[in-house]
Amino acid sequence: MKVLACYNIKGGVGKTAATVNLAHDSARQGARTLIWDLDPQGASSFYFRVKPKVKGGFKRLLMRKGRPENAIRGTDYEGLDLIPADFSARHMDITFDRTRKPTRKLKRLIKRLAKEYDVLFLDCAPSIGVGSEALFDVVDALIVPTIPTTLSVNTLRQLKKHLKGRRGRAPLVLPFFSMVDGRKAMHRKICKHPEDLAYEPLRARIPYASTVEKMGVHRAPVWAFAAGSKPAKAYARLGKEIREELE
Amino acid sequence: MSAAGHGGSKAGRRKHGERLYALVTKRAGSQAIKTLQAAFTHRVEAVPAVTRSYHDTFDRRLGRADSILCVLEARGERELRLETLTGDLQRRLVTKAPPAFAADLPRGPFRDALEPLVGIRKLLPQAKVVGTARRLCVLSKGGKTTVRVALESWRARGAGATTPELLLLRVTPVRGYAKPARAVVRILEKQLALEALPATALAQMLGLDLPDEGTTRGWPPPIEAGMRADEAARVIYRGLLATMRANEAGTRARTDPEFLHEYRVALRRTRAGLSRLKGLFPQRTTDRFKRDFAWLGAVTGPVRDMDVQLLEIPSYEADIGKKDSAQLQPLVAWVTAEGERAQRALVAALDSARYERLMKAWSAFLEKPAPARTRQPDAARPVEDLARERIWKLHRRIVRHGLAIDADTPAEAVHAVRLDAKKLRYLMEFFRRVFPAKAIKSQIAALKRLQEVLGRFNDFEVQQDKLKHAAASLSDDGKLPLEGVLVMGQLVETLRRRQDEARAEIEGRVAGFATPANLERAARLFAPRAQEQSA
Repeated sequence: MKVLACYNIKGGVGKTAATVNLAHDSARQGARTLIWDLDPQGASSFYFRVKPKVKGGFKRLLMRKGRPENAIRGTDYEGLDLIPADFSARHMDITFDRTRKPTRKLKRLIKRLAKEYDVLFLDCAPSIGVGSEALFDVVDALIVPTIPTTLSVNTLRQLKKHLKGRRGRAPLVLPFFSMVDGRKAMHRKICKHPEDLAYEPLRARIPYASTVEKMGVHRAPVWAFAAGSKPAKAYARLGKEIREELE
Repeated sequence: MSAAGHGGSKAGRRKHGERLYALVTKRAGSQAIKTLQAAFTHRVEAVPAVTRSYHDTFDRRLGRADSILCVLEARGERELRLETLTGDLQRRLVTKAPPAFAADLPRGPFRDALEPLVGIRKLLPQAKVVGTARRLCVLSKGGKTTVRVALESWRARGAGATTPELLLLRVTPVRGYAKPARAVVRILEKQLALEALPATALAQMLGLDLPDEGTTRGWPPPIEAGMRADEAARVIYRGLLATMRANEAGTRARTDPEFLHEYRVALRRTRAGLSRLKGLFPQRTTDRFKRDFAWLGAVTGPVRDMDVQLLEIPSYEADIGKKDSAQLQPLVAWVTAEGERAQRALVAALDSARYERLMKAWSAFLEKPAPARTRQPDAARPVEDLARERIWKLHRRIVRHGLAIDADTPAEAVHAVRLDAKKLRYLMEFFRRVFPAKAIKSQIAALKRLQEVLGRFNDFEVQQDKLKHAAASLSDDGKLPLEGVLVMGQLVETLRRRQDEARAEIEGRVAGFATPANLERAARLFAPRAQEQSA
């Protein structure tokens, strides 16, 4: 099973939109896909109309007796399931901090899920702490939505620096340009010189589009209500690129 | 459908599994839907005409692994679904064209799941249903689908015929929402008194679960100790003839190379029998059939050669690497064209009067009861006597010639041992039932190990010859660019190296076959009684 985390230190960059649409695309391509909504805001769960609640809370999922299978909810889309968010995940950092060997526990959980799924998408909350540290240990790749602005480019550099400084295996980092607005000179400029970024970004760019925002109204991935739209196609291209990168 | 099928474990399947109900009339269906509509918050979806065609290999490899490949077409979209026979979805893939072989699929989880099951076999349509469905999605308070209830009407389409309409109600719970599913089932079963069908009902109706006997008939042959030798030989030949007949249609149509392969194996066994089991039938009769079967072997050979070469292409590609694999295109085209030409000749041979006469005469000969009095020296002997004598003779010859092989032995001598080993294998299998099961099994296994290396040695040589021949023919026609010639040369070199490796292993394998312990076991099993006593 491939474990992919949609992650950015910065918030509001289109992480959840990316998770939902990439996971939907992955399921459409035939991979048995699971989303684990780690964001206490529960936006992924909201998009799939799943109640943001896990029996026993986030902590229980990590415990030996916690049965993650029971927390899984089927979405309305074939091949795509979800472990909903839980408000207790807001204490993720504390939970991990107090847990002995959090990485090992996460690994055990992932191993269990790997029996049933080919791809696991983690929708992470924007932060960098003990929780994200444990995640860095277990993921195959970090998918980093990056708005083409100076600040975002900076956070990418911070991430690189941080990953370099830590022990253990570094995950593959795959940034992509998100919420790209062609009307803005800065967006155009940064997109034109991707080589200035700390990591080489993927080629597919997700445009800033109202279709993506409408996901909240339809409570569905863009493909479900706007299959032919530019963002839907862009997410499909992005998904393909990620699959190729992982091969 | 739903997340229902994703559970890999059996427990998961039971827990999230869907239920199927057969409906007698359309009214019963609408009544069920209406009742559910009244009881739950819901959304209704109309699913337009859907075609499901079920594919499996000719020998039902998927069915035996409790799976089936379903090609689902709806709204101009086509989807491949690997399902269990109970309809649980294991894998899906959106695709443009259904594959003929697993290797036609793009690399990915779907192919990874399918390929080990079907191998190199062709996927052939087994059944097709067309139908429409009305779907009721039972919704949660938040508007989330929790159960899907589909009213489906199916017609199975076979060759030209369409079955009467089949009405089904399919209840598919979404994973994690067991409660509403239970409520739906309660209404259907308690209130409307519907009875759930067994999970395999649909597969049964479509005949997808039929146990396949394979296309090899009567193997090992049903003969018993004490049978008259000529009678036993007839039984063996009858089984082989039935196998040939059973694979004739597939051989003509060439839908899967395996048909011809099975056909030729049966033919080869027949020929080996005719040459190794002398003294049972009049010499003139045996000679006549030997001649005709040799002709049949010659006319069916070229197609098999091309089939084998096509099957080797992927390994050639792996050998020369991705970069140069385009250089194999002329070879693929040549082999394909040659294969088609040979196939036409093969079909013509199967359509010929000579073939028809041969099969009729052979069949009539085999159906004739054994004559009460016979002048043939071995005809009336008990079969186990004959079996021991012939097996033992060949066995000793293989040991003698095999142990003589060293680094200087010419390839022809090695091939002679290989051919003898093959014939010995056939004999052991012919008479398998007259020996104690365990003892003969271990003898066959020991022989198999020897055959493997001899076969490999031969295969690499044959492949080199075939490649050289193809290259010569292609460059005569000016169809092989220099790069192609180089790549072919490189392949031949690789094959030669492998052949040398196989050659180096032969001595060790012969020694493994001819260990004192194994020879003693073989002697106990095969050495004719009289000889054993005198020894």
